[in-house]
Amino acid sequence: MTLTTLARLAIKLLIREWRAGSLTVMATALLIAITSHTTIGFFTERLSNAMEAKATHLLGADLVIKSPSAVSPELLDGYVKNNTDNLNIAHTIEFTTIAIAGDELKLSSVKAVSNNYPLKGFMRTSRTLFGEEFTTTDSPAVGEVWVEHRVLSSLNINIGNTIDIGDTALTVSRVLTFEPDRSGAFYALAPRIIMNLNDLAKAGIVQQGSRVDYRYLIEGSPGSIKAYRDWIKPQLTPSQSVLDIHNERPAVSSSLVRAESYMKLSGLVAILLAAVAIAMSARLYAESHYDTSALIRCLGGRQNDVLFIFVLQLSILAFFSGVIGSIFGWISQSFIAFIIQDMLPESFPQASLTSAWTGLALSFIVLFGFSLPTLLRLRQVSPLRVLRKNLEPSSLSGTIIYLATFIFVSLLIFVYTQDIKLTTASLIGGATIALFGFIIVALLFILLNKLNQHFPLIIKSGIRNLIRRKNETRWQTLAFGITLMAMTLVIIIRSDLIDTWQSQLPEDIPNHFVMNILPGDVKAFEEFLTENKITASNLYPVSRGRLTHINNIAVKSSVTKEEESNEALNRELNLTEAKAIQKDNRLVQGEWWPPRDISDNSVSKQSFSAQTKPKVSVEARLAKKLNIELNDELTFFIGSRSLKASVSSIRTVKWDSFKPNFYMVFEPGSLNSYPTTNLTSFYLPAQKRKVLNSMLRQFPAITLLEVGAILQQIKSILAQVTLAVEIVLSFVLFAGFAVTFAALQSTLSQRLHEGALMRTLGASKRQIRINQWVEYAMMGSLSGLIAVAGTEVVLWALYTQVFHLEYRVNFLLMLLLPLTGALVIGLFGIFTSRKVLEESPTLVLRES
Amino acid sequence: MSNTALSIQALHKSVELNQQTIKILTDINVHIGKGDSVAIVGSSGSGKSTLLGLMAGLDNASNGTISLMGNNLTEMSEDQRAKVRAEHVGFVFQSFQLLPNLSATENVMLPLEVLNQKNAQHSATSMLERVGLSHRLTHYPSQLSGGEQQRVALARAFVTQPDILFADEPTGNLDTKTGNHIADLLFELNSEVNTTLILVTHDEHLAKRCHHTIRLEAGALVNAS
Repeated sequence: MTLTTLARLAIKLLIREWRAGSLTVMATALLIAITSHTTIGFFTERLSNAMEAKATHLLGADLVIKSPSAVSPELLDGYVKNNTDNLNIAHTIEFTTIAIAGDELKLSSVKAVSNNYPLKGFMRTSRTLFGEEFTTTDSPAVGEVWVEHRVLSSLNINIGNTIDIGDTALTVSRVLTFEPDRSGAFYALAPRIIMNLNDLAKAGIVQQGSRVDYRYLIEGSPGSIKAYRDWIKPQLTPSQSVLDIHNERPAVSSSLVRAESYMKLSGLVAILLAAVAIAMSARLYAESHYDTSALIRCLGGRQNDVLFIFVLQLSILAFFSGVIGSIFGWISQSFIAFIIQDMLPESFPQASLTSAWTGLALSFIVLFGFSLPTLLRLRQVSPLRVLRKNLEPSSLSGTIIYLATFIFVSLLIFVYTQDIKLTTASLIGGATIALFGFIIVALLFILLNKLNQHFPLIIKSGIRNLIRRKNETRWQTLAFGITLMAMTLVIIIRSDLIDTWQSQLPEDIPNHFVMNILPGDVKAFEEFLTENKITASNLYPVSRGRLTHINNIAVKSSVTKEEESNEALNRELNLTEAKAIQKDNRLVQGEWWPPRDISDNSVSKQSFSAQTKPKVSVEARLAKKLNIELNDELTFFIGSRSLKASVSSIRTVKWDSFKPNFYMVFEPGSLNSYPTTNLTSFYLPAQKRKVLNSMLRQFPAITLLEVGAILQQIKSILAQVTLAVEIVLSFVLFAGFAVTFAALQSTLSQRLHEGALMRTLGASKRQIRINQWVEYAMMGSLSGLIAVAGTEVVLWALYTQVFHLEYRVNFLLMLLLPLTGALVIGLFGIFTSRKVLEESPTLVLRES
Repeated sequence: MSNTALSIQALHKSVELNQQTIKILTDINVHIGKGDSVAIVGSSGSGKSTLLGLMAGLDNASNGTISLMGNNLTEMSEDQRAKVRAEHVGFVFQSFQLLPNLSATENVMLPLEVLNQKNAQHSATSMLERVGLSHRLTHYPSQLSGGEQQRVALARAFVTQPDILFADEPTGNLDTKTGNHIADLLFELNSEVNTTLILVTHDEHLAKRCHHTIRLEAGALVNAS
């Protein structure tokens, strides 16, 4: 046969089969898979772009180069000159200096910015103290400064007054309430003053050797940013570093990473679910074409002619499913974006066509990957089958099929996740679940067979049907089990992720930090808070000190060159003491000191000698970087005096918790003989902000920091991540249900035939319906048991290995999943098998 | 030019089942001339369908030679035998074997398309008209009665004007009256096209309408007339 003839025949058969509905199962499964894939792909790409864009707003740029000294213009601009990439670069220089107004002095953190600062995001300012805030992308004009309210109150000045920075006098034109790229340890810093970079030379402050933080903010397309990063990174000295959203904002970054992991996994789940259905329906498709294949061979068609016909048919199916699925995906993601437009950022970027291409490729890959073993059997059909119906084509060796499927699934997962660890984990997990799942199913069927004689008569027949068809029903049970497991996993992980995010940023998370509460003011300050109905966190006594020696070796010489720039070594640390470990800190080594009665004079006024050094607990990441181990002796300089302490424990700290966090926590009494002030944090709703005026008037020594704007930004990002996760979840659920439906359809013709026979032999509709209910519900509850086992194993692996969250066994699942399985499979089964009772037995028997 | 349509010499067919060799056909020798009609008869399990399958090149012999229109089928690959079938052979089956997804016309066109013949649709339509189904051209098998389906099968078998037609119980699925009509049609077409007809049947009346009868018992030829 010529290729044209074969193609014509293939298309003719395909169209007719489509009209007759025999391709519905496979096409629907494929269409759902591709629609889910592309919807998730398009939407997450848009959301991810929007989230990245918003996240970069917190950095003020796409990329930041941080350096203790000026970076040479050749290095900075060299790339831009040699490449056509369009990069914008803004400069900022940060340093600490004294701001002077009349007789008042204030140590301030000054940031001199170029005119194009910020490149991304915005600042928030107001024209009066605690007045109405507004966002701006401008920066202070030459001769002007924007200052935090703390500067105004400390220097006793107002908007319009001038302050001296070095040798230049600058006019305060606005109150600064938010700047995008303020680094994490905000409460350790002096109040901020932002000035124009062009005024810096006149000030004459920054000299060679001054301690200055140079930052170069860079903005450009993702490709050019990546190229620039790759180009400049090897050329930087150890004290210079490149910052991007992933290392600068851990709270945002870890949420994004988790959301991405979740979406990748969910996308994978949707595809693998579809693959199960496609493999099932492909088998059915192949089996229903044995006769066609035999006839074409009998009429003179060659083996390859037969193969060509079916490969072409599947290619057409894959192509149309890919294209239509991608269109559906595009429409549904636009629809979702339209519905939730109020929750999305104003500029919600459009997605590229990448997901459409991958959707099309995936359509071919999934369809052929999971139907090829059965498709190849069509080629093997003997023409003799026209005379002997029972002649089955020889099948490929089981080992070859399983090996090929394993390799194919591995590649698919890897291509999809681009993550070798995740691929390996999924494969090992998947293979283990499939293997144990099958063993459990086989055992459950044996048990069911043994127990069936004890069951009431009314359900015996249904269970007998299930066991009698065990060749199909065992696989179906396993497939439903895995589907149910996948759906459960996606729901549980989604809930846990969102709970984690919500608990990370609860509604009443502190949005104000107060420092420098003098010991004599503590009582009055607490009374002030009570009067104004403000609930604050604990008061932490704080001494400012610098870590100088580890085991009597100067810190700078004991660490590597790269660590010399560690900010914990280069600035004073907030040292505190505490009776108990903070709630969200976790001990990883050593022990916390035993609780003691703080009112006991001997303790509170305890003094430590060289022999009885106080104990200190060190933050784990810093301990690792500086090679600090248990029982090491640390020396701190507090003011002009030194304090030696012995490391008694190492603990992790949740830096993204927006609560006071400390690198070093001493045992109570350690800081008694050192000057301390107190630190606390509290939540204040926006409408009560006026309280801050009276607070500052009553306690002029305190330092007040507002972090509400940063919190708001992060909250809105997390809200979007949550939304994305929920949309992805709904698609996976949809795919799961549709796949279940498809899988049940695959045994429909057999059930129709048997139902017709039963009715011919006198079975009532009620009897058949009860049998169906029993059979499906039993299959569903067995699937539920498989799902319970699989879910617990996978959750354990995911939580401990991928998400790094705590894992707890979920006992409720053990009851819930078998019940859900029975109900869902029961309902779906009855729905798909309704034809068994509706169709005339004569017609069914005649057609079969 | 040889006058033999089909020649079988010392044909044996056995299969391995549970490590036992089961003999299905033993030492079959048959010569069928062009234009002859031959009925293969015998009880169930006597090897009739196996012999038909071997004659048509649908199966491999264990021993012996089969020559169909001068082509030694026993020395050919499956695809080579397929080519011989396409060029020389037509089939009619007990269960009709129509493709359910093709209309009556499309089913009849199928062997013509295998042979890449032009005007396939026209030839198929004419053939269907010849078997009395001009009003059923676009109907699908499920919309046709058993007799009509077998008439479509006859049209499909004769449309290529094959040298040899193999028929496996062509009336086996039909009632007596319809079966007789089909048999009449089969012999009419056979004489029109001058095809060599080889049919397997239980029906002694049908067998008697053939020039020759081959009787099989337990896989051996007991009588050929």
